Amino acid sequence: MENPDDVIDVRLDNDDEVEDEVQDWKILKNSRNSEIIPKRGEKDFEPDGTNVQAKLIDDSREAMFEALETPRGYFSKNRLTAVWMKDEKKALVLHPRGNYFKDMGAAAKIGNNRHGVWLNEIETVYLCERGSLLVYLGNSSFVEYLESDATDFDYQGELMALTLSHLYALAFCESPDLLDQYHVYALLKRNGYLIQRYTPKEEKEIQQSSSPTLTHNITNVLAKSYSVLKQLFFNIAPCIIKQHLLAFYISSRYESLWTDFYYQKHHILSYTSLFRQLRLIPSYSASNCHLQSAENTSPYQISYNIWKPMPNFSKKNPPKPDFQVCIVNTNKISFPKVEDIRCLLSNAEISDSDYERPGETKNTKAKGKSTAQTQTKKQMREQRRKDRFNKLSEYSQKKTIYLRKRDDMLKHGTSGKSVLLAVLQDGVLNFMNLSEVDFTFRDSSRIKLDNILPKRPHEIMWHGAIES
Amino acid sequence: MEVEGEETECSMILLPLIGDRVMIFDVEDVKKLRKLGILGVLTGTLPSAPQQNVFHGIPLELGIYEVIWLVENGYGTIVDSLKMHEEVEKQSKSEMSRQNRERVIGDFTHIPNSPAVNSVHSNDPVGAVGLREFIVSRCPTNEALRALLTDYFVFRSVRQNGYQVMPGLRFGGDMIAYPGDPLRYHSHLIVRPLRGPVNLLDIVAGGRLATGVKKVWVIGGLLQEDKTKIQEITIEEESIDQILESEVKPISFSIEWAGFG
Repeated sequence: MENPDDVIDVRLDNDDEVEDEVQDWKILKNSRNSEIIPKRGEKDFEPDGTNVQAKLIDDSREAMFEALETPRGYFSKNRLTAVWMKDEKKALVLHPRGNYFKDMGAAAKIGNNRHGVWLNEIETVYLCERGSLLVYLGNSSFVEYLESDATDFDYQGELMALTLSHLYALAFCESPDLLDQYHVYALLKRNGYLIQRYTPKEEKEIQQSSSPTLTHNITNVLAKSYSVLKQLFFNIAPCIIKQHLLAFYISSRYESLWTDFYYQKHHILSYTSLFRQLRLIPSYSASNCHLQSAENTSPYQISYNIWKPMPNFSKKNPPKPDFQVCIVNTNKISFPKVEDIRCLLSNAEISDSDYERPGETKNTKAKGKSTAQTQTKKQMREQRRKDRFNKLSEYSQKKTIYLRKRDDMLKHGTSGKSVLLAVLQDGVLNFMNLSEVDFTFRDSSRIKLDNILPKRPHEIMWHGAIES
Repeated sequence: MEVEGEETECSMILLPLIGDRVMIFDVEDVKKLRKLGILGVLTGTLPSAPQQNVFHGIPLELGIYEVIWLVENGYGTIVDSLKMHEEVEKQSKSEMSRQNRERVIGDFTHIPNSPAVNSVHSNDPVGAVGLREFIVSRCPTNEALRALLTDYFVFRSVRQNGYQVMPGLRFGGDMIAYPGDPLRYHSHLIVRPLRGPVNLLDIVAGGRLATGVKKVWVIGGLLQEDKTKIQEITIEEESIDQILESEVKPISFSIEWAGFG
């Protein structure tokens, strides 16, 4: 019974935990007019046999059933219909309207100049389930209509309107994996994200270069031979040399440390230089590991590209995704192996956006929303923190920013590549984030830190000033 | 068993099979299941609040153990959802347009969850799927089948002890058990069925984790004689039904992290 103008706007106090526990449906009933769902209902430890408790359970169940029984559908001003085409396993929307098609659907051109939008199984079920789309079952007379020049079609008289369970059966019965994908898709859509199916890079390239030219071929060959060379260099050479090098490296490092102490060649005056001396084990950059993924046969594949809500999203020309997600069903598959994770990450896009601290984003949102309202305790604390920060010297400010940035990179990855793992068990869904960290801060991550404070040994604990 | 269970009427709950899992679309069936203490997981979008993820709506997804339990105890029948709906498609054109008209009430167009009760409900539904068929479709190998049966017996015994069970993903177990309806109670147990020897480190990890979230970690497995019985079962045989009927009593232990001094 959704009416876009007065959709209940439910935002959460603390989304981390609310979804973990089974919530009390009475809250939903009571919060019809309020904006925020309270944190959680009161729960008991165990049954105590009292009528009071029995009544509370009954009330909660009643509230739940009442919410479940709320009719699904739309008011005529939001009318949106589609026709399910069994052969294509897609739904055709002839008169698309509303906000939904920003990221959904693909343009359709049928018969003589009939335009519309194709919705895939998942998109169709999602829109129908939220009560925004009525789906009819296509038949021969509808196909005839599509091919003809007729302008009108009697949907109600000619076609059967599908129930939600019927649509589920048509969409998912033959491909159960789609159901897992649907759960993830729907959850993210309900949170307002923009989503598109992920297409592997190679496929994209093939699509783009439908007419191969000579130059294209040459560059292709060049690129291929380059990658072969690279592989040779990075994979084979290190295998042989690495072990010897490692032994040599460690012994030489020990020796130098020892001789430094013994002969006092080098005075260790700060922790930084001590830590620097203690760097015994060589490390390598994560970005070097992705070269083996020439053939991608891993069962773990990215399913969706995801964007945070944005006003000018273009389906044809989308920006780099904010997240990419791979779906894992605990009943069918276990946690990915290192090779699979590498494979996933090698296919992941490098995101440009820096990681935002959740606290910071939340605050800007809150400010936009309620300028007139009195400050909450959280905001006051934030303000005090800012004031304190502004009082610091320029150098200390930089240092604070530097340390925060470095911590963020260690926590959330240095290469900017990450893949979300959506883990499903019988309809329960959790997310994990896989990202890669180069603890030595080489390449692009070094530049990011150098921009704040140049020429620091980013890879070690930096403790006070370093000499020379 | 739940005392409330006895109140339910004897009409069978239809368990529509979509692909490899059972999803319930009829709210009346959801109510009946709740009374039986079978919780499932609501996975659909709630039409009255479609932009949030705290409360979900129809359909209700049932786990495989829940489905086996329902069929084994005579509460439900599995039906192939596609076949069931093909029956509905066969209705006459006049009937169809009448139904279409009835769905528009004033200004509001109604999208029902599931077909009208009288068109499908019966004790001998179209497209019925046998329990063995369902189990084997989920466990194509003997090994997987035996593992599933072991897990199921643990599930069954947890239920027999009066607990209601939900998937345990969020707490790092196979299932979590509640002393009653989870709408009212916090869960007490994180359950892990065992199929072989248990790693000592797992015991520490499970015990610490469960104690950390104020629960108890429970491991359950079968006694040797039952294990042997299960080892003999293969996917080709009819013996799956027999072993489900037989008295298999798993043994379980609860583990809690305790500090000394």
